Amino acid sequence: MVEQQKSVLMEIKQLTKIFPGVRAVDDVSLTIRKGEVHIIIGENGAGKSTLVKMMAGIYSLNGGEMFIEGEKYEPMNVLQAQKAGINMIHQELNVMPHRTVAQNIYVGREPVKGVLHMVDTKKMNQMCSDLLNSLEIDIDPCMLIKDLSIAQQQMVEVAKAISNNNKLLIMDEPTSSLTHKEIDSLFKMTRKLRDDGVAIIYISHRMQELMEIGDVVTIMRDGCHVGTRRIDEVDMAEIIYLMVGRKIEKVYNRTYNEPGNVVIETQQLTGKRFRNVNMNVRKGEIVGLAGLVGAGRTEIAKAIFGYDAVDSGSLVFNGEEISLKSYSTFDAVQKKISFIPEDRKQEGLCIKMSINDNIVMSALPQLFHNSIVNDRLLSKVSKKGIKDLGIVTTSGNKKVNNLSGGNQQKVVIAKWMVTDSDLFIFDEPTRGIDVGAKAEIYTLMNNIAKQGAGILMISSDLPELIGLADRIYVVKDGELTGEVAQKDFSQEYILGLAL
Amino acid sequence: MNKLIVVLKKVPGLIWGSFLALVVFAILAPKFLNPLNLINILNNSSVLLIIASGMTIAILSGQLDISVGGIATLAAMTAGLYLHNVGDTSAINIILAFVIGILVGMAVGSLNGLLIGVYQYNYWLVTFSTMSISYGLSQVLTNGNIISGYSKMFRNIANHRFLGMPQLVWIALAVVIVIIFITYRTKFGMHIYAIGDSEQCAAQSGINVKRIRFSIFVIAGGLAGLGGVLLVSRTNSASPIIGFGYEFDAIAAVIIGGTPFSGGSGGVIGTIVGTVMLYAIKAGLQLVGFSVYVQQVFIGIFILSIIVVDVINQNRKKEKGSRRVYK
Repeated sequence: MVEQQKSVLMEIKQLTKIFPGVRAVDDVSLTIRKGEVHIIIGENGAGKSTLVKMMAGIYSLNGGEMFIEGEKYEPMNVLQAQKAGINMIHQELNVMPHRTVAQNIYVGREPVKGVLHMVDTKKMNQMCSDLLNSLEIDIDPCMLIKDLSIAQQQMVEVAKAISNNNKLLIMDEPTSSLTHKEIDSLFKMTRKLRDDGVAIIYISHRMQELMEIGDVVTIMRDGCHVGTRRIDEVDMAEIIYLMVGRKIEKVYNRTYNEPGNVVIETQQLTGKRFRNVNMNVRKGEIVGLAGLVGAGRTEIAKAIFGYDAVDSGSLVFNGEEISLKSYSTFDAVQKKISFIPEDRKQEGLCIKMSINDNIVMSALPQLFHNSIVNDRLLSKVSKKGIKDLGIVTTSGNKKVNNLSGGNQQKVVIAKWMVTDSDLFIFDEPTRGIDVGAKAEIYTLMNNIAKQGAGILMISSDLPELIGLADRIYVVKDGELTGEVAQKDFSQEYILGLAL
Repeated sequence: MNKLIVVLKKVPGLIWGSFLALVVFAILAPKFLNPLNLINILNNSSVLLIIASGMTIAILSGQLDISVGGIATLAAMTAGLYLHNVGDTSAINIILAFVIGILVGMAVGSLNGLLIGVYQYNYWLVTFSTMSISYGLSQVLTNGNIISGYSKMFRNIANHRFLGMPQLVWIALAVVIVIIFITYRTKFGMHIYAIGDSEQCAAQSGINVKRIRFSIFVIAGGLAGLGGVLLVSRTNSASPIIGFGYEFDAIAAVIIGGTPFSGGSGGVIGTIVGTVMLYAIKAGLQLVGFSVYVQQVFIGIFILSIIVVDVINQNRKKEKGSRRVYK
């Protein structure tokens, strides 16, 4: 194969961004070439997002220069970046749910007709369907965005970026909420764009993705650029080593204990999205819940936690049957059940409140017997949580919003550690978290089990389940299709039950 | 035909409920369907319709303007005072009175727009304050007195009949058509929806959010001003409480018409239905024989019960949606 050096689209030189207290990006230089997928990888807080946000005109620079095709490029805002052909797709979807696909794509640039400058809807829909056809996306321009799947919404965002005289497309963890099939079609589109000569910057946490889609990988650590490699010249171990800066000896650090009494048992539990679920979790055990996205795993967990209604069946907690009629999350917390949800930002945390407030949130009645909150006790409890879980922050008064994903997850876990629960339910505990922080979360889970609490763990990451769990239940279309003992663990077997 | 069914399915439950109420009134009080009564309902709705169309674009953008009642009152008092002092028998003065009223409305509206749109203060606090300022100034202008007794020429603006209906109804119709055109057919209108749907997305798509928010409040203010002067023409008196209550009636009309507080969907057409329904129900209750006080209670219960039905309906839809997963 003749490896030609592709032409340079963008050059950034010695970019620096300083936030109060940290150098988020420190003296980073990169070369972005046309027709290449450039992956940026690094632990949480490594400065990946900050770096690309400077390129996309969202953050200003504290130092350094950028050049596009040899010309100096100084975007003051997102619009100027877009005019220069740089578009960014954020991790969170950025769409207008009640508007049509065409309206979303051409918002702000609607074609007009006539003296009265009426919006030419017909022409807009035509332009839109031409655009979608050229990208081989099969979506009707007149559909409302809210009626599309998450993946389709994301494709609309990509289409919007492309229609914008796009030269460089930046994608910040685009696959974090997609299913495997959806990821495939996103990758197909990404490859097509690359072959059309678009430069793509792709931020990811998932190692497999980088091998699958990337041409070049840049590794960042602590705001610094630690290396750029061609994908075909590098192996996984080297990337991990560069990312973490230390060798991770053992990702799954699990000590198995003799399981104790049954903490929770469900009998013929039936709800909206699941039926006749019989399962149990013992003390000191990690029980996995495997299955495809949408199989009903989260719904089962939420029913156990009293968040979703149960239609029939029963729930026995520590040998005592729970009355399901008026069962709510309040009762669940009283009975010492914890739930670490999949969606940290929406469900797990009060994002605008401080770390301290978040950590004590569930334990308030336990900590303060008369309704007055004692600040000293509060910060003592929170300080212990921050220390025990190794949350990286300058102060407990910092807003959770400003923490990286891994640290946010630790805050959620700390919040439940304070309540001293008997049952911890983890829903996708490592989603959107990098390798280093993942290992820390695994260790924490192991410690929780060691201390005698039971853990029910939902995960779409099979190696992770196999590495941690004592037993795995498999869910398919709302029903349990099997209970797999540790000696039978294999990806093929479990997938076979889930499909 | 299929298209019609699709459109009918989109009609919110509130409107179906209102329709049902109308049928009940028609049965209980045969006079209800009398053309005179129907025209009267339209005539009563007109001023609210003008004010509520301004409120609609504010709510579509995801915000509220609770100063519209105050603005209408202030415009009514300024225009009323002007006519009282310069004489209301010349056409030019009358036109000027309308221009003054609308300008007063736009002035307060631009203060709202400046603070909310450009400086991004909270819309509730800002419009609450300007509401208070407007009501206060209205009292100050005449020391709290009512100015009444205007010329036939001025009164005719609202009350003269044209093709069997009071001119006020035609004016309201014209205003609403313009607003419908703006919201459904122009870029500006599309951008109002876009901002209400996702301000972040709109801003990142190159929409000048500040300018559009500013314009929304100027338009809402201007329409409230126009409504205020029309009220004077209609009632033959300018009173410092003339527009009192219109802010919440306008919000109710918009919400009954199917535009949610969250913005981004719904529209002015719904508001027309919502406004007329509101007055039709008032008239119906009156005809059936309830006092004004009882009417208020009924309207509250009525809106509440329809909302409950709407919520139940939505939940049922969601359930259907989740069942579909199993095939």
